[in-house]
Amino acid sequence: MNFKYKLNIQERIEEIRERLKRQAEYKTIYVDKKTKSIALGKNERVDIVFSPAFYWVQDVKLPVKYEFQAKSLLPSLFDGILNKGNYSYKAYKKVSDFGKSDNWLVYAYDDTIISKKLDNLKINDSTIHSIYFAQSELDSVNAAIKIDENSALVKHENILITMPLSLTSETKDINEIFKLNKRSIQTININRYTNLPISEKSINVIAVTLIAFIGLFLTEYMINKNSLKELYTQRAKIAQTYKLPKTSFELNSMKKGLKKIASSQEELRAKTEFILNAPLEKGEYLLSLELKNSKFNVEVNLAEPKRAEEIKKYWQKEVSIKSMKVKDNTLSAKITI
Amino acid sequence: MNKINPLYIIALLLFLLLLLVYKNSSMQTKLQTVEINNKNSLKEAKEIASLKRAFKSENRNKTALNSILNHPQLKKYNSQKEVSNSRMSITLENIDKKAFDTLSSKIFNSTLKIDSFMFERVSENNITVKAEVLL
Repeated sequence: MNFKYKLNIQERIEEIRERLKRQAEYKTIYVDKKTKSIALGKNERVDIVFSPAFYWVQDVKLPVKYEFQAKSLLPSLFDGILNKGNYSYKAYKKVSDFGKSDNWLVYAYDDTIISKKLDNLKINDSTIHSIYFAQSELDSVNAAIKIDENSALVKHENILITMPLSLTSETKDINEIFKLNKRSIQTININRYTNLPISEKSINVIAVTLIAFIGLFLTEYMINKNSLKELYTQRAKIAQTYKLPKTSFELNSMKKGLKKIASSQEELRAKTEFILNAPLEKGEYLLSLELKNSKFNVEVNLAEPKRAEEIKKYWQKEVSIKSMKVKDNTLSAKITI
Repeated sequence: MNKINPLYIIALLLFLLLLLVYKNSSMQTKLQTVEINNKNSLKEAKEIASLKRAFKSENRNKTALNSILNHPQLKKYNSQKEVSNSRMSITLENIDKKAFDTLSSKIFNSTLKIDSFMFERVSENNITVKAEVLL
């Protein structure tokens, strides 16, 4: 057994396991153009299989390996076959008994038609587990498949088509087949929002523009955030460099204390200068000055006692004189700031 | 199946964009505030640092006072220094007028914390000075 074949078997096992799991969870419902309603239980989720009336399918050989490569070829494959409309395309590589083959099942479908049908059947998106096309889910059945009292699905050149039941001989019931066969992985995505006021192209343009702006603003936000972080670091550095206290309360009290010292010292100097600059005449001089606790004791030798009044007047401009006496041409004054 | 309405996605993107615009604008305001605060803090810190240097540095005050006493005009006088817990006092006796002018101008023009200052004319040309500064 070579390695590739081993891998294929493992893939198939995984696929089957997945199918079994899903089969156990969800009921499968076949939807035809004639389907009027579907009975669903509360909170029940279902797999929906659409009849060939809802899609165009071709079994073709494509020189490509991957689905995305195949997808680009699909519009040209259906060119001239489809009516006017907006179609979605899907391609699945066919799986034969010996693994994957070069043949592809390619689909074209109108989202609006399928979406409208789901709306008519009052099936919410939340109710739907997965959507399939009959071709993928019933491809392995070779007999005619009875879908209702009048119609059956039969294979014609590997493609399932609907025929009157009367034209078929032996049939198998579709629900029985769904119960026995598990769902494939060939799910279909339906764009349920085809009737929006703006086109898909415009939505894409708006979305891209918004994403671009979001990117720009996000970048700006991140840059600003970093700048803010730097500013906080800068602030911490200032406090560290200048040995500032941590709280603003402590900082204010420190500043207040220092400013108080500064202003009182400035005042002290200014007042001392003022007192010493008393307008003395020739022969007059300061005998002594004592400054302590913002109080001054000054002694001045005067030319004559009446000069005391002039000096007093000068000092009174800026300082207050607590007491003053003149004895033997000596003026003694007690001054406060 | 495409279960989300593209318009919801557009609305979500728009909401995200508006949120980011709002966040950015708040961040800008915050940045400006912090920047201004930092500038003020720096200014304040410099001011406090200079005040601290002037009035809160014991060593600096001692050095400043010693450097005054080491001035050429004062050096020749025998100064008495006394250092107690938080203050330092100096006494210079019988100094001439020039030396007195130098000493008083140096003390009063410095940032020393003057606690007390006293001078007495002892003779026509001689003055005794006593100054006490806080450390």
